[in-house]
Amino acid sequence: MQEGNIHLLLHPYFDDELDFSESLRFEEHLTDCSDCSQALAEQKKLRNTLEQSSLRFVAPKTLQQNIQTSFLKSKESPKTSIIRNWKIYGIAAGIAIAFFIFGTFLPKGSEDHETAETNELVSSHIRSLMASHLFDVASGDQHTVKPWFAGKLDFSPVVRDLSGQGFPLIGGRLDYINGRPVAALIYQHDKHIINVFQWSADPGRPEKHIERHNKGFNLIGDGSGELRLWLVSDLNTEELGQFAILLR
Amino acid sequence: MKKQEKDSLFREEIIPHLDAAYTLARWLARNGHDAEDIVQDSFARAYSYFNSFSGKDGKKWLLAIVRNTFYSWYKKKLVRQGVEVSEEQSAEQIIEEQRPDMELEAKDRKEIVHQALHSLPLEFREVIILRELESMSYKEIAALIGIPIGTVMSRLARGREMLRTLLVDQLDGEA
Repeated sequence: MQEGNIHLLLHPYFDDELDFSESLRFEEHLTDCSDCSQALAEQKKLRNTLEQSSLRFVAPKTLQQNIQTSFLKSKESPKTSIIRNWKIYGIAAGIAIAFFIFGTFLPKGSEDHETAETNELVSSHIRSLMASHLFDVASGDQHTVKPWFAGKLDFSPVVRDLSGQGFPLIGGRLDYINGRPVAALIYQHDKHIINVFQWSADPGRPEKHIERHNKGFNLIGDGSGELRLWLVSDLNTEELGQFAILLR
Repeated sequence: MKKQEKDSLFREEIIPHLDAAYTLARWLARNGHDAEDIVQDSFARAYSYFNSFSGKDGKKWLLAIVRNTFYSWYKKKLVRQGVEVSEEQSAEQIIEEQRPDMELEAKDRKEIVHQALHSLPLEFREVIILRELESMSYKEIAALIGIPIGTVMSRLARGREMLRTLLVDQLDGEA
C-alpha cells in the first residue's frame, strides 16, 4: 500500500485484521498523524456506544415455542414420541390443550379461526417434512392409497395420481387438524412436497377458494363438493394454483 | 444421515442460535413482527437443507440462511409495493427506497443509537451488525454476503462514518 493511502488501514487495524508487520507500520503512522489517531479514538468511542446500546434481542416467547415444538421432537418413532412428549413437556401440552379448547369451543371471528387453522396446517406440513412423519401409507397408486383411508374417516378423500401432469402422488397419512381426523395426501413436484389436507366441508362455512401465506409457505384453500381441501407447500403460488385446479 | 442423528444434531447445533438469528433478522427487517416470520421461515429452510450443513459453526450457517431468507422476503415486499425489480437484479443492488428519517425527539441514548442504525442503508447496516454483534472477521463476512474482503472493509468504513455522523448530531458530539 502506498504511503498516501495508509489511512485506509485504520478500520482493518481497529478490527484486528492486519498482520503483524502491517500493524506495526500503521502504529508508526499513528504517532505522526493526528488525523488518524483522532479517527481511531472516535471509532473506539463509537464501538463503546454500540456496546452500551443493547443491540441484541431475545426471540419472543411465541417464536421460541414455535421453533421448539416444530423441531424439538423426540428421537423415538412418531407414535411413542407423541405420548412421551406429552409427559415430558407437560407445560407445553397444557398450553396446547388450552389452545385446542379455546380454538374449538369459544366463538371466534372467522378470520381468527382461519388463522388458527392455517397455522395448524403449516405446523402439520412442517412436521410431515421431518421424514418419519410423512406417510402412513407410501404409494403412488391411488387404488392403494384411497382404500387405506376406508374406515378411518367419515368421508372418502379425493385421491388422484397426477404424475402425468408433473405432480406424482407419493403417499397418504391420517392427520389431525382443528380437533378432527383429516386425510393428508402427499404429492411431489420437482423437489417440493405438497400436503393436500381434506375433510368434510362444514355446511356453515362457505368453501370459497382462498390463498394464504404463512411462515414462508403457500396455502390454497379450495372446496370440492362436500370436501374442504387445503394445499400447503413451499411451491410458488402459481404452480400450486395449477395443481389445485388439477385436483378438482 | 439418519433422521434421529439429523434431529439431534439440529437441536444441538442450530436451535441454540435462535436469539442470534432473531437479532440479525430484526436489524435487517427493522421490526419484530417481520423478523419473527423471517426466522420461522429460516428454520424451516435450515431443516430442509440440513444435509448440506458441514457440521461446523452452526451459527454462521444459520445466519447466512437468515440473511438469504430476509433478502427474498424483502424483494417480494418491494415488488408488492410496486418498486420495479428486474429478474437479473440481485436484491442487494436494490436501492433502499424507504429510509426512515431520524426522529428528532428520540427518547434516550439507546433509542437514538437504534434509530441511527435503522436509518443506515441495508448494505452498511448488515456489515456493522455482523462485525459488531457477531464479531465476525472480514473474511467470514465476505463469505456470508458473497462480496470481496475489500468491499467489506470499505462498507464498514463508510457505514461507521455515516453512523458516527448521525450520532454526533444527535448525541451532542458524544459519539
